[in-house]
Amino acid sequence: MKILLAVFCVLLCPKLLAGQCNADSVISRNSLEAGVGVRQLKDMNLVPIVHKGISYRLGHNFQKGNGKYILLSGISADYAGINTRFEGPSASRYIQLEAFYSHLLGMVKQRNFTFYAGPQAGIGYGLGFYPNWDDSHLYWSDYISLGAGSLLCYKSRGGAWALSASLPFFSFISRPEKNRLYKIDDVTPGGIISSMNSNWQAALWKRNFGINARLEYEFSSVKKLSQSIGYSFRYGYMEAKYGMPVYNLLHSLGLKLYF
Amino acid sequence: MRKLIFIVLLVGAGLSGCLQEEPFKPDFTGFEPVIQDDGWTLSTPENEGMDRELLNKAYKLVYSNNRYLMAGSLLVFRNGRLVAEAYPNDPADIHRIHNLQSCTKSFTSLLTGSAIQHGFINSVDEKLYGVFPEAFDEDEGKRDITLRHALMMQTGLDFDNDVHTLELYRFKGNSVEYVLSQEKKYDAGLVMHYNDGAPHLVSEFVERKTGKTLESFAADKLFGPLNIRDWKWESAQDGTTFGAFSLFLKPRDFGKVGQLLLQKGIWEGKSLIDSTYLAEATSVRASANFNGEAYGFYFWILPAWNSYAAVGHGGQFLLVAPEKNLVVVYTAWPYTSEVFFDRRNELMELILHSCK
Repeated sequence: MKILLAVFCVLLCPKLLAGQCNADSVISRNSLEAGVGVRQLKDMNLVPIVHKGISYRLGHNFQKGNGKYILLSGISADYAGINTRFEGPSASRYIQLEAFYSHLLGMVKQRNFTFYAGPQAGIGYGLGFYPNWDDSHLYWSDYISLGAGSLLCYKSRGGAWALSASLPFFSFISRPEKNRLYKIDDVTPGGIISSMNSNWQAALWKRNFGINARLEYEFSSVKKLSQSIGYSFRYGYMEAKYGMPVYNLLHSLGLKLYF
Repeated sequence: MRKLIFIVLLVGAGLSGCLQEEPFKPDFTGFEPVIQDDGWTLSTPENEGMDRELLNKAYKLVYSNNRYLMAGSLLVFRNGRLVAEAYPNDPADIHRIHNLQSCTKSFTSLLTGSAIQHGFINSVDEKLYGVFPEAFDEDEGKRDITLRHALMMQTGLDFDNDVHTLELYRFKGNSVEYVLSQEKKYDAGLVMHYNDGAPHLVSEFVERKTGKTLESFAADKLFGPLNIRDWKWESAQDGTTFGAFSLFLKPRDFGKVGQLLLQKGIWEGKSLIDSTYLAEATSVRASANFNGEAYGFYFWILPAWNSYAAVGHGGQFLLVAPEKNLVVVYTAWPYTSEVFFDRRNELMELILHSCK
């Protein structure tokens, strides 16, 4: 049920790309995406209990390239109302802002499909607030990462399939300390920004592990207007040396409009 | 290709599934205390005239009932001995200091009694204006506020915890001026308005009278004599100790303060707290504005059980029942809202009834 719901919703992952498949000339285009999915969060700094709820995403992507290379970039914002089995719906909130840039090279090209791979950089700020569990502290998980991205395009008769994935190798991460011996976090905008930019530390993929995969089908229903539907799967694990890990899982479905 | 994509999709969905929850409370295995070098003598329920089954029921509640999800410790002392203890979140919590939140207010009250005992304060009817006039604004009505009014939460100031506590915490200027700058809503002494501002004024009052911050005064006159060595008390950014919150103690040391209360402020033959003040502080002085419950000088009074308690966020409490010679300490995750804890009396009652 959750998977079905997720599948019906997501598609917001910023790592997209379809229409680029097998294009010989350089194509540039933007896309807007909207999606919905099921998010699950387990922040061990708080409790080892899973928070889950419906997650919504809006994003913008830009891509440029041909069969030899493809540049992808995007920004997105996610919002989820989450709760545990002990409380009412949407008792807590989770917000995530992300941006990425990847430069992928065409590695394999055959008649109907092309495989691209290359470096990818990303930045993300995630913030959880769980007032029933902790009305005094913020729970954030931020990263600046460098890793690899890949894209597999397949051109079919009616449209194009694209399967993208990314994995961070080296990151700077920011998490709250587990034991915060003070009473209240500053929840003013300035205080939140300050908190979320504290405690940065370097981390290899073991401490900031993430899989970001998306399957997308692009098609044209109207001439010159292209859209895609897709399923995204995202899993993240982040653990700073001074705290406990946070697990983040998202299944989602989404719709993207290219222009 | 389509098959491949389909397979990848299925594998992805299968692998992703759900995040797994992990147990964060061990099963309840017993409440027998263990020997520690902290001055406590250990005993058993039977030796102290307590019903073991009722105690068991109380502990099982804390371990298994959802209403006590974030329980940290439950300790029962009777006749000056530690009868039962357990740490549902982590056994290592026995060694950790813990934020007692608004239980801190009761310590501020006790230290006022200590300042009286040591001759620093003559009367609780002294006006605050006479001690730190420079912190007051032009509103002359505020100058009538006495130490007693502050101890009874009857300053008349419109200090709203939902708004002003956070501001007090972050305030970079004179924190006492900040509290006193709140609008005077009532004349002093008329309405009990529970808030975090009044204890901060008491903290400043004690500091001015003793020449030491409330934290330092506590170290000398309370924690030192009780042999409490590991503790922490936070201050505002101007150095004034928070009188309302953010005192951290170990659960067993929290129990020592309960025992001191049972002994009417006397510890090892020495009077640490003025007994007259203590009697007044732990008897009904006011009735709370939000729930009508009886209140003393920063103690909640429980007339039905001839008891009183320090109470803090997350459901934490220190229950003192003089007639039963009983002290109960309950600590919990100090930042939890009442959604996860609203049955303090249920726990207190069970343990009180376990006393034969």
